[in-house]
Amino acid sequence: MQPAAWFGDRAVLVQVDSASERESIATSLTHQMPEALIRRGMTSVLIEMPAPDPRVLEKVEHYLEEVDATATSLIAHEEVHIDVNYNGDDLAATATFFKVTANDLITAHTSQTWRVAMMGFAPGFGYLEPLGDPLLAWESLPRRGNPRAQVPTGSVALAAGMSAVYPSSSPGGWHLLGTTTTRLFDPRNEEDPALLRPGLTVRFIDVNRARNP
Amino acid sequence: MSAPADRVPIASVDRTGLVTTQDVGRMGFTDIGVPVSGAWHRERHRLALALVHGDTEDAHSPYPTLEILSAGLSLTFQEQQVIAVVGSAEVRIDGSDAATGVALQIAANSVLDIDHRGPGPVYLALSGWQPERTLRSAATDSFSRLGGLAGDGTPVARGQTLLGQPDLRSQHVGSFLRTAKPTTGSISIITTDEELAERFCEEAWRVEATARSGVRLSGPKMSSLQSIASMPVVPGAIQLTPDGTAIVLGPDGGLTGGYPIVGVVASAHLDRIADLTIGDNVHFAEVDPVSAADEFTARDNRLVAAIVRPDALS
Repeated sequence: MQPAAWFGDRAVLVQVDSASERESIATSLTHQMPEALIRRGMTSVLIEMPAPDPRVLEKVEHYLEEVDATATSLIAHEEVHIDVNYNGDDLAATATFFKVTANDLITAHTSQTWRVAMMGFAPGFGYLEPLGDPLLAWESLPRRGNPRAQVPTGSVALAAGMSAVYPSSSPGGWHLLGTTTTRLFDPRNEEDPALLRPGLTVRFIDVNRARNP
Repeated sequence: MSAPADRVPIASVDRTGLVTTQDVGRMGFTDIGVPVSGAWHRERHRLALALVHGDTEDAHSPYPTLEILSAGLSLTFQEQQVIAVVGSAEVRIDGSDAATGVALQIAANSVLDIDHRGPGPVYLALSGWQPERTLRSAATDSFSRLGGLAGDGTPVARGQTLLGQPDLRSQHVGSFLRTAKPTTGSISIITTDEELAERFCEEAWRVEATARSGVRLSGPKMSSLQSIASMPVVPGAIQLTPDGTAIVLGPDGGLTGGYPIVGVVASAHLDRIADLTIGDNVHFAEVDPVSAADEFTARDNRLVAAIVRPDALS
């Protein structure tokens, strides 16, 4: 971890060295500073106050000293299952990239446990990182050279070591493995609009395999 | 979307430029990827509301305004209302010139015409308007496609109807704003990268494009970095892109960024970004976060004193 630093006059940014450090810091600060909005980046945590606060850096520095590196959020023990129809336009090409069959790619994607590292890009969009050993060299797959102007809602995608589901149709540069009918974001649900939350673990389920065991 | 059940039509849209419904924003959902969004020029938005509703103190007022960014807006009223326009605009009621910065009564069947002059956003507050809310906010977020009259982030369209109450609030009619001296000079930033910031603040930056997502500035090429690990960003964060432009993120600039950031505009100077116009030359200066917070508080206190009530004059 690098020293906490001002990010404007109402926020402080902490650059972290690992995903587990990011999780323990974000979890701990969420409890210690209920007045703040805590957001994760891939290698950072942002602590944002509702208004300028000259003392926020001091507060963050104080609580960082108390972070328990072994602490995990309660949410980390929750697992969300997302049913996928592996019919994506890029499934075959992505399998070829990893030098495996389409079936092997599906097996690896469904056997891997994923964790919501951060959210953003679109409401309800979670950047999923592999938890534990990667079952394929996910990180070696770059984004598509030519991003699609329109990726359909529910597309299950892969790029740059991460997986994701597009909660709504949008432009996108990730490789499309399949689709899900699971709703990831519902703005009419004011209490709980998003299926995913930072820190949550996610498993993908192959609907075709479930039907034909 | 949600809204009170007993609303009646209070005005219909006859003509519109780039106009959106806004409020203080969509609070409490940033961790799941929903930006705050909301009024771009916070001070004008608050003053317009304070004129018709009377509560200057509440920075988190739930009331909405219409934010006018270009061309203008014409409304025909079905119900009597108290209205206020704040910002640089020409206003007519039934063809006769009317003032900005004052709470006015407008009768049923009257026509309100607002022509945007600028620079910067112009705000219209209506005393009885109760717009649809998406995730507890009326803010129109075109980036996330949330909010607004249609609920999908699209701007106000001709033929739409504003719903609410035939609310007079006539006790506020005649309240007006003391003319404030516009702030000039360099825009304060809290730097995040000392070396980049020193050069950034030496240069003049030219405004190339402006939108609620961000204001694009051209200047010397500052960074050769292509991209960095995705990180959280805030409105006012200044990104340096590989092609040599700088982008000051606006309220609809999204929650994550992948470009190096040189600094973040001080909260007290954020409204000035909304007033930048293509062709303007801008200078930035470094400020420490503690002084920036003090300046924000002082400005907030001045805002409360900016409104003169009719009863205060008697």
